Amino acid sequence: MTGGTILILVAVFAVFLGLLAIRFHVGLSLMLAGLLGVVLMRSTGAAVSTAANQPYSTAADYSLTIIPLFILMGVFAVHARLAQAGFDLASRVLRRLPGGTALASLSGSGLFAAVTGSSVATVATMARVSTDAIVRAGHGLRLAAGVVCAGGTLGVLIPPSIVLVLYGVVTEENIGQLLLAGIGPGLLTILVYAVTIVLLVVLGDRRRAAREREREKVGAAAAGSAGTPAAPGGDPAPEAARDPAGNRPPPLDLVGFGFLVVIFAVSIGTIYLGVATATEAASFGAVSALVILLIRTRPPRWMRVVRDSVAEAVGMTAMTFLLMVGAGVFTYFLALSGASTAVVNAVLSADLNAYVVLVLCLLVLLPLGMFLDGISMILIAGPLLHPILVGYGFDGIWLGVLIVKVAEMALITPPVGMNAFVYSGAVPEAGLGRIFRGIVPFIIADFVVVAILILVPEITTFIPYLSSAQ
Amino acid sequence: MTRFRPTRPLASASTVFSLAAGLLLLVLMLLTVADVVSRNVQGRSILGTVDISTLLLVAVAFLGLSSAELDGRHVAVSLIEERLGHRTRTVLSAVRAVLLVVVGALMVWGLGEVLFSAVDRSETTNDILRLPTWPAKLVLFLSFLLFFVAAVGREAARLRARLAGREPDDGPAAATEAVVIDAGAPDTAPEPVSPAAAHHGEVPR
Amino acid sequence: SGAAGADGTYVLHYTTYSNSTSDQSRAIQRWAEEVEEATDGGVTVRFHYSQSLVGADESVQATLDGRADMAQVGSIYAASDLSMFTVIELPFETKNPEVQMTAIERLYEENEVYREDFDRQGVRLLFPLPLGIAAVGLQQEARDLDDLRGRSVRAGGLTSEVMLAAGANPVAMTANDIYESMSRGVVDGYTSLAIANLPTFGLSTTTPYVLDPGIGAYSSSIVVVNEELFQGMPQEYRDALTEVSARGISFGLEEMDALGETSCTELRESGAEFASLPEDQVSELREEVDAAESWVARYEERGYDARSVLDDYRRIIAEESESSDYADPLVACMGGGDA
Ligand code: NA
Ligand code: NA
Repeated sequence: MTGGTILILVAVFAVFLGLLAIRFHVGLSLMLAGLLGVVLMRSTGAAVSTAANQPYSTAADYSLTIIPLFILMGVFAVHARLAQAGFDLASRVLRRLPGGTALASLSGSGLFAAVTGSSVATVATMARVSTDAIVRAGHGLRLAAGVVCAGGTLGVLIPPSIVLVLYGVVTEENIGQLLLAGIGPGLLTILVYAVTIVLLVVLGDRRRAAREREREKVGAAAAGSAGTPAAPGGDPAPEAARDPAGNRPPPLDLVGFGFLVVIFAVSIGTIYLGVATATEAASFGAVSALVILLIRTRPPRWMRVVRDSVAEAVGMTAMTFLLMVGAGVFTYFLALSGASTAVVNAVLSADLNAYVVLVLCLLVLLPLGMFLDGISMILIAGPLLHPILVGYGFDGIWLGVLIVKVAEMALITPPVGMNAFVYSGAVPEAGLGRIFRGIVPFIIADFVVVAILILVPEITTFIPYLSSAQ
Repeated sequence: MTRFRPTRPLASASTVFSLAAGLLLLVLMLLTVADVVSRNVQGRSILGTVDISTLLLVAVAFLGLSSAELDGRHVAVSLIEERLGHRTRTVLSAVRAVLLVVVGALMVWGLGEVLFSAVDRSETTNDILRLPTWPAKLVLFLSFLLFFVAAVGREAARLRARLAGREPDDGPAAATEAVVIDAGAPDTAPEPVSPAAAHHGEVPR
Repeated sequence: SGAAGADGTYVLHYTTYSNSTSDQSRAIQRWAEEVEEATDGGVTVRFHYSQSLVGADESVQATLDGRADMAQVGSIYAASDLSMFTVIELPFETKNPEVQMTAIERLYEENEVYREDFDRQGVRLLFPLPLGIAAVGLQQEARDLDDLRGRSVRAGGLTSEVMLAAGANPVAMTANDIYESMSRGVVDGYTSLAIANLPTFGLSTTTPYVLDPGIGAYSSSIVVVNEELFQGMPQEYRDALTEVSARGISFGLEEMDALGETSCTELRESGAEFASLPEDQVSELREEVDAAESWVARYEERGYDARSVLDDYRRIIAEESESSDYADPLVACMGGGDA
């Protein structure tokens, strides 16, 4: 990479961060910064063509129909008050555990991950489904955002997974084994996230208890201001909220829970019975959710409730795709610059121990992940990293899952974390700052998961090699 | 407080586009289901489902852009602006408005060229039906045109309000129904809480 | 970028939908190495695999408008930009990929109608890349048309029409989806793939039955460069590109053979059984589909002298078939197994 290219890269990244800082649309910031880079590296004509062709080339992809359809399914389910029913029950079951509703949300994400290959769809749905439940249980919007956004990354580990399939294509690893290999790490991630949630809630309670004691010492006069539930950026006073939620639980809507199971069964069942592909299954999920919505709505309100649901799904879809368009332009610029190749070469030239190289390669992915989505990262980094690391003697399937896992962390790391943006689209009141603050503990949890996956490769390789031994 | 009120033509055009997107999304959903049912029951797929669905997705993906903008769904990072003074915010509003006009002009012009080229080359999809792509590209052109009109209009309204010495109320117009938003300027919006929690908190023990 | 750097050297951005280890990418990697050597490092290629720069269906437009300098253009993505090139997609014309490759090159020199598409799009043909003949992979055995009837088979492009004519149910899906759809029974089989493609999609170890449907070479791709860029290069660079491109076909066939052999070994080791559709049924199918006449009709409607292109294509195939004894990897694999 020449000095000129490095200067251009620095300028483009600076412009991008500057645009973010002045509160410009994130999608358009990616686009504008990327375009500047294309103008500098090639020509204005190439830049205009890149921008103008990106919307069509981003969306003209049949496998992406899964995004609006799973968003639609989620919105229908929410309007039919099904998610609520499911969460009331899950929360009831898990209520003895600290952070029961957050754990219920995590379980929901894990279930949903088994029917979708898209993180975005998982987040969009679970945001609507579980945010209110978690906030009402008194855990605060910050934890809700963290759980839902992190839970969204499960979508690519637990099969089906578009990203794992793409990894298999660019590296020629066995796609079937790759998909099976995602199961173990997916379950491990759920486990570590669950521990994180429990720790967060327990520690949060302790801190509050300590504050409470402090307050009692100071006296009743000060309690008025300390008890304000909604200090900007802070959590509402959860111990106050939990009492009404805990003592007067809403009546259990078992029929609603049953319907929820039906939707999951329809969308999972069509895949596992070989009736439909994962992409097609999204439509079945949406249709069944629509039918159930109609059953649970009085006929005079049918038109309106369907119209509202669809309008909402359409808005969320547009917002998601505009981000993908911006990321597409930025990705084009990065590919053109050869930046990723140069960074990897720099790592290699250091001549180090295999595990050090592995960790360095994974670390290289992280800053990339601050600006790119998982799919773009796999497309750019997969062909670069895979052959090098396989050359060091690592197992290709294990490596694939590890790289995908780290690439997926890109979805939740600031400043560009697709999951956080989607969450912010679904729950605009949350605010990106609070969402990212809520995610931080789960990023730490992800580091723990990655460390375990490196130390115990069998978690990844057990299932795929078990089935191929037959 | 001055909330951005889109002009009637802009608002109705956005609504029409959003409705169209919704209808096409339902068509996409039903077409897929019909294809799978036909394949499993009669052993016959609906020819060209992938072709049609792909073009439908292009439309569905972007027709909702302007209504998403008017609803405040698009994502921006407000962390830094929150900490700035009125005068700086006014300047930033102006910068954003100018940038939006620039990107908008570039995109609309480029999409116009792409549309023209698709018509000129009689461009078609590459699967069995060989459908013309120009209708999808026309939809793209119109969707982005309307989106940028809405975005520039929204930013211009913010700028006018700030120039008049007021803080614009540009928070999300469509609150998620599950979460009640507390009253207050969105720039310093408190964390949304459920009515029960809010009420309880106001009466400290 | 579109012009020479400050030191007069060229870095050509090459965009492809193939991954870095596919036979097509290996062939272009060899081409790039030889070009770099022949130009003393004056012309180097930067590869962008798996559509990481631009999408497969945009490759011609991107090469024209400066988003890329060189591209692999698949015939199935070329209907709008290089319509006459798609003549080589017609089924049942030849079972010899080498003959098909040579025809792609000779039409560029010998047929004006075919050539005009390239000139209008501002791209120059460097060399073609082979794909191999169409195979049908199946979950259950099939030896003739009766066996195929009613089965759902993943297919694309003109092979979909052949499957329709065969009484099968063509299902459109990306190649990435085949593995899972086969294992779950969403489809009973697949085609529009050559034997060398199977390892890429995990199919060389999981396909119990392989049928040669007689379609032959059904698709292909070419490597093109921006014509203006090419013309702006110094004479010695242009000569080097042309000279190395003349060996492009043999690079492609050698790499395809190597992958095809791997695939064949994996298929045989996993116990796959091979069969061919009987000759009379292939002819029956060919008449039923009548793809060539519909192709001519479609493009005559758009003002092309498509007939002349078809006639020249068939003439060249006849001429080249005389002198080529190349055997497609599928044919080679089936021949080797029967022995
Ligand atoms: Na999944
Ligand atoms: Na990120």
